[in-house]
Amino acid sequence: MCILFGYGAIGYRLVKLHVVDAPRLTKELENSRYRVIPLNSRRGDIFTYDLNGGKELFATSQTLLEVGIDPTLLKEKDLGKLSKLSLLLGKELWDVEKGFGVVENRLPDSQKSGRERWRLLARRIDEAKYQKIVDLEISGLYGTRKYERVYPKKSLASHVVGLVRRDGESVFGIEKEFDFYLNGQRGWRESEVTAGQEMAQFRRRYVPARDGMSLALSIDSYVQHQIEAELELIAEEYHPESACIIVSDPYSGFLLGLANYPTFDPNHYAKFDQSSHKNRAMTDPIEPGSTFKIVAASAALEEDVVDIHSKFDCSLPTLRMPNGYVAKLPKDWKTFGVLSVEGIVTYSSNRGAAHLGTLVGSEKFYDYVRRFGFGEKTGLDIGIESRGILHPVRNWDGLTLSRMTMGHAISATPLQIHYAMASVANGGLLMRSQVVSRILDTESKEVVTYGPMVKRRVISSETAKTLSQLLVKTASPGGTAHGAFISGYRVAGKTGTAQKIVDGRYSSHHHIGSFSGFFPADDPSLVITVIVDGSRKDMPVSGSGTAVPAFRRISEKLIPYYAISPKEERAAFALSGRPTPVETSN
Amino acid sequence: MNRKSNNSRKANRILNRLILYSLTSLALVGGFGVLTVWMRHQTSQTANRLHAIEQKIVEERRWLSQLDVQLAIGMSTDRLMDLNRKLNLGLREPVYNQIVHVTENVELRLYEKSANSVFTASLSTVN
Repeated sequence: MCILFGYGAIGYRLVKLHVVDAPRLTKELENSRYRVIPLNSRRGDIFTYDLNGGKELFATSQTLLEVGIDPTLLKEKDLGKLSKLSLLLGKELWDVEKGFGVVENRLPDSQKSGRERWRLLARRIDEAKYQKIVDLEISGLYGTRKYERVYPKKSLASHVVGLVRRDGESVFGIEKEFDFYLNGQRGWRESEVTAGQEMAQFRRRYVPARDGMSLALSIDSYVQHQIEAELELIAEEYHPESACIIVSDPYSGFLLGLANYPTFDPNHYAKFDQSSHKNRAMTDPIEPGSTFKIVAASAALEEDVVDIHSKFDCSLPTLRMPNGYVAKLPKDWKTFGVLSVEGIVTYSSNRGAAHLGTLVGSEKFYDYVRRFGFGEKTGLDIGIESRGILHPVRNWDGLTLSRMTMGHAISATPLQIHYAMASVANGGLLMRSQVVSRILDTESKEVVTYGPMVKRRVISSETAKTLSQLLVKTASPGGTAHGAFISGYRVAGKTGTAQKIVDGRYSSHHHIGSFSGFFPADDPSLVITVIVDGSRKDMPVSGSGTAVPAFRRISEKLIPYYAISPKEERAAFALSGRPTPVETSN
Repeated sequence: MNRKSNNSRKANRILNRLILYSLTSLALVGGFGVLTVWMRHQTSQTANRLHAIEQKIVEERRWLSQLDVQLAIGMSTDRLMDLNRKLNLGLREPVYNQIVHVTENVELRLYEKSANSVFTASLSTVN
């Protein structure tokens, strides 16, 4: 009877707990133990491949810890460890003791009854240091992990790579434009927790975090280092307002280096002036000056209105424009007499360029300016890009054509000038500017591969070849860019020294010196553009005096690095593996 | 008398069976309960082990990425140049005019060299 009664009692209790009270009890249990545990995804890396195929990290993510304390858990025996802790945290002992609420090397009585259970002690502690802190076994000491962005190469290519702020917001550069790929997806675990520990057996749902993809850049860290070192030299000597150097492969359009002065270290971005974050090669349009004469010469040669031997009287101070207006021509840097087209390019005659433009006509000249990519974005997806300023022909006055042929009355970004020169170098194709060559998943498998993209044909390959020969003369002894001459190599290029507009007028003291060139001229491996905006201290900045020597120094460093052969055929091992572009659009 | 004893024996047998069945069912239910608890315990242990492995993997990956960062910092151009200076290694970048470029056909050059040696060897044999 007793047994039956016992069974009955147990049965009743079981039914009550499992049937009657079950919903309420389950809910109570869930409320106290159920947790959704977020799982952070790791942001992908940004890296480049060196010539041996090794990876060089430009941006990566690492865990850093915020170390905090629960002052109520500190024990008397731990007081002696606080001095070691202060050394590890790099803080003064009194500062750490203050954090724990320790007064005169003892715990105050009010400590145990304190309500505050978390006090921040230090931020951005790395794993190795945190491990040493944990080894001290101080009660009440906790660390909270957080992924943070690290830029191991410091300021190298900082304008290209961009920046992710401490709060995780990508601000500019590749970090921002490719955020979709880099970011990854956060995951979560629905589970039950007791005493701060997950009870894995009660896990209900697990959505793993998906780490971000990694990006491979076409930038070469050696090239980038050389051009940044060169910018430092220029900055020391000329104290320019800004300067930039661009290096690319003319056949693929991929950038090998892009550097700006002033620059910044993304690891300590707040310490630098906001203006140093600007990628001036893309955002700041300048008057290109004489480097723009390649457009006038190309247009005249392509339209067959001149050949390289056609002669023009460059001593004349006026010229009748196609609309009948007689324009006064600005003086040349030196008085010329009759010059051939070859002479106009080699000696950089403003008046000669105006003659060429007049023969081509406003509409056609404008068309060539557009074809060379001026007035439109280069397509480099690393942030805000200016189109420059190019007015349509209907807004031109009587002087515009004569001024534009010599690189005034138009504004272009350094990147536009660079790619215009690259189109002459590669035989007449305007390439899309690119810097991301591959996107890889977490297993390092290629997800997207970018190849050369042709925007359009600008001029015929014959015209490009003819113009290259003229530009070789410019960069040879006797030409305006003779300082770019490298023994054994045929260097082609064009200098530019543009006056800056100060207070609404062209200043004779403020100049922008530039040089854009390529080599070896017959089968170019590299296009290099150097632009120095030297308006700060009235320094004597000029294309031939400032930009050309920089071009030469960079070239001399890159010739052995890429094993660029002086012979006419491209060396088999120089810049190998880059596909030949295929024209895809008009 | 016999019939009475027969009846009581029958009743005992039934009672014995009832007790036996009760004990057997109790043992079965108990065994099942113990088995369930044991299984749950095993599940919990396996889950915790998996969780620990998971944590370990996460930790290893964290250390690896930490190592990558340290390597990248250690191998940056600035750092290497700094070491070159500090340790007086005297390493320098190559200069473009130190390089001798072979611009002719390499195969032809090698062929000519080997042909020359054969020719020279035959001449010396004759002499």
